Amino acid sequence: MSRLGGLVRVARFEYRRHLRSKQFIGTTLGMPLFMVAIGAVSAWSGSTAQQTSRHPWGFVAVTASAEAQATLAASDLRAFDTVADADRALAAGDIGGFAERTDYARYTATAWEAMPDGVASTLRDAVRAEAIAAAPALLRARWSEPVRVRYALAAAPNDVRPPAALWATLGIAFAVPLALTLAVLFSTTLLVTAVAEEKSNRLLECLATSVAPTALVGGKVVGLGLLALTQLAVWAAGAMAAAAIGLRVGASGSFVASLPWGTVALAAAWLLGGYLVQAAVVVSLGIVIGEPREAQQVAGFASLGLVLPFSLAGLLVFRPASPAAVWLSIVPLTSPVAMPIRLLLSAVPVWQAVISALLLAVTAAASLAAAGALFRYMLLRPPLRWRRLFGRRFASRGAA
Amino acid sequence: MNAAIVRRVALREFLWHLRRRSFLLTTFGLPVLGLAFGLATAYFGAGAAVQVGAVVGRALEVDELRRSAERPRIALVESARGDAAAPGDVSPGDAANGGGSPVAPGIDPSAPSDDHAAASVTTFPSLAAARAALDAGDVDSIYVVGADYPNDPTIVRLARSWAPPGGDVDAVTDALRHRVWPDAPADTAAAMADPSARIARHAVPPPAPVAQEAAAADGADKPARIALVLAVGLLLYTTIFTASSFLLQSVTTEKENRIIEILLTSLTPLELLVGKVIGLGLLGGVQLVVWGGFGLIALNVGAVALAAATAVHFGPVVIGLAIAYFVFGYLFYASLMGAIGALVPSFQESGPLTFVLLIPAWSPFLVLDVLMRAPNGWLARAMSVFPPTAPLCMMLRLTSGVVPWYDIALSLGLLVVGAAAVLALAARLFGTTQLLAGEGFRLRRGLAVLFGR
Repeated sequence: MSRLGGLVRVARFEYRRHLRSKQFIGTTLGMPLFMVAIGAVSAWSGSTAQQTSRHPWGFVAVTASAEAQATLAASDLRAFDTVADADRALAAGDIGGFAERTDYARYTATAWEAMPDGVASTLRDAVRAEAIAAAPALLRARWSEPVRVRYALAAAPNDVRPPAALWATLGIAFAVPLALTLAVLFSTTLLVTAVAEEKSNRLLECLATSVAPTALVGGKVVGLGLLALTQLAVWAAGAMAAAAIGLRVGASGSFVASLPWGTVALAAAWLLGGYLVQAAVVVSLGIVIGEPREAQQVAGFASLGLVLPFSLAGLLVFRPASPAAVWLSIVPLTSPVAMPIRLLLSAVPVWQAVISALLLAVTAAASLAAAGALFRYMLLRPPLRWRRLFGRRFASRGAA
Repeated sequence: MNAAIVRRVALREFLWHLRRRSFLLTTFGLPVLGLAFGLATAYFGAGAAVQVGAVVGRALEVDELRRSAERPRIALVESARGDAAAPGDVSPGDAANGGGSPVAPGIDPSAPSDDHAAASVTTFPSLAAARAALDAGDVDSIYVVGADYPNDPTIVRLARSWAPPGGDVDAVTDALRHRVWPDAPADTAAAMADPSARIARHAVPPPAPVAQEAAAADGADKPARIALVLAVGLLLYTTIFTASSFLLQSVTTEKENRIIEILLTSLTPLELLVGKVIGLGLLGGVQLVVWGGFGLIALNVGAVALAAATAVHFGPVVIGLAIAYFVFGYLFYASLMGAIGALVPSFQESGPLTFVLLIPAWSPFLVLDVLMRAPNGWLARAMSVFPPTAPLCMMLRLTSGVVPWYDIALSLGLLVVGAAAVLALAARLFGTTQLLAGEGFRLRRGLAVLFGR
């Protein structure tokens, strides 16, 4: 069997075997549903917690301007004619507090409960409504809303975007690398388990009689990489369905088209490099350790480089050109995540992107070559045990 | 059930796991590492740790990030009067030729604004100067005001990234509002700029009908209370699940190497399971004592006791109930883990089932806000009588306020019944599936075994 033919056959076998596994189906379909469920419960909990201890609030504003009264009446606040009425309701525990207009555009809130955000916002609106009413009729509209802000990068000032695009860009800048990272972690976990298992039950030795070791490793890496892509495709289809629902509730087609999809594709290229580096590392661990459970635990540490940039999100978002952010996006361990976030959120100098891509490509090639060599070397040797390794060294020292 | 056999199994499990490297590392290694760090800090002086922290913080620009969030610095630039270009058409060419003009009177750079009094607005004579300040880190964003302002109110915000703005937009809005109506009375302008300052607050004690509810809601946001309640919950559940996962490992390992088949020739499945549960439960207790002890030493016993007494309700009754919930919570989850171990052929394949089991166990943390604000609400009461969520939920309730005795009795009673039922089911699975080593998990077969078919 030719080396390429062996690689294709191994890749196809690994892909099909895992595609039908319960773990893959459960993760691919269950993870998005689980995340949505967690998000929904958390959101419900947050909003319910705000309402749980909140009592209605009231106001006494018979002397306020018509505009302020209209603002207060349009809110959930309960109207009282006199302060005595409001005091009685407060003493009975029917309301958590009430606001009384004491002077021109001034209020005093009497309450036993912390002022809810909604009440504070309504009172601010009432104060402003009274102030706006005092302005000449011709100036009122502009005085109440004096600016309409549009956004651009300082490095690319002609690319001006509306406020909604900023939130969408921020969401994409984290959702895309996160989805890709999850897929990489999932497939490398399968990879390390597959290699360690086949090493421990000595299946690798049988396979090596008919497939070249490099084709065996390459086939596993390619097959499980394709599996990760399949998973991403399913998640992307789900996201597109959600976007389609979003279109119905307000987002226009041109808005969706204006989002930086080209940069998203570029980000995927960095994650592909990240996958190759991770795959080489876990193949090496799997063949050296040879015990699936231990190999999985050690492989978890190897993926810390992909997780680190997420924990430094504030730096990448608000200081994308800082030295630390630049280093994170150039060092091959962290660049598969850090560079996509920077690319999506800011204008990255071309030289930085080129250096990052080159370093990542060289690292991926070198680590794959090293993993292949290690695989060939360890194929017929027993798994490495630290105790045996150090024990032998100490024993030889003692003999000397 | 033979008590001597159960005792022997329990002793063997306890001693064997007690000597395991992973247990010793987890139980003693982590606290010792923390203690070593504390001693190293004390030996080298707190200054060394502070210096290391400062170097890392400087590299990650922690202070700068905090400062820009609390007090954004804004550059305001006006396009040249008579320039036909709209604000959105700011081009790099503007920066190159230094386009712009001094700011017209009427903008007060230090004008305070609503909810962002700390924001500072500085006017720049040109876009080039503002961009130089942005590159140097002297400002956080640039606002370019068009020549046709205020007829065309569009302004462009230039920043380092597409991150949505914070309070800087409001600061600029307020600064430019003066341009629209320069002759506005001071009182009116102040009301428009900072309406929050016009709302005085007068707190009164809560009325009797809602005093208890108000106390719970008032304390719900206090960080000390949240931290202590979380610490209690996490310690309880981490210990329960560590010990339960030992049980799962023990069962699956013995199933994989088929030792279990030999063992079951000399004892009953129930004896084996109960012995394992007791032995590994004691192991969890050791871990709880070690971690708790190290925690108290590290945090200074007196300070913690004082904080606990003042911030949460920690009396002898609550401590006694915490032990009861730990014991029966552990029994419940350990039996479930034992059942999973009996169903799956290897430890690797137990992952999805364990994950499904963990969801209800940790779900009280998802609704922590609601539980802490309304410890006697319908959700808190429902979750504290449901055995999988009862241990954590009831501990959260007990540390948040007064819980009616009948709630505690019902919750604990159902937990005991639930634990006994799960233990019996797990023993049944043990006995039925012991000869099915190597076979994958089948839900239909598992259910058939459970229902005796």
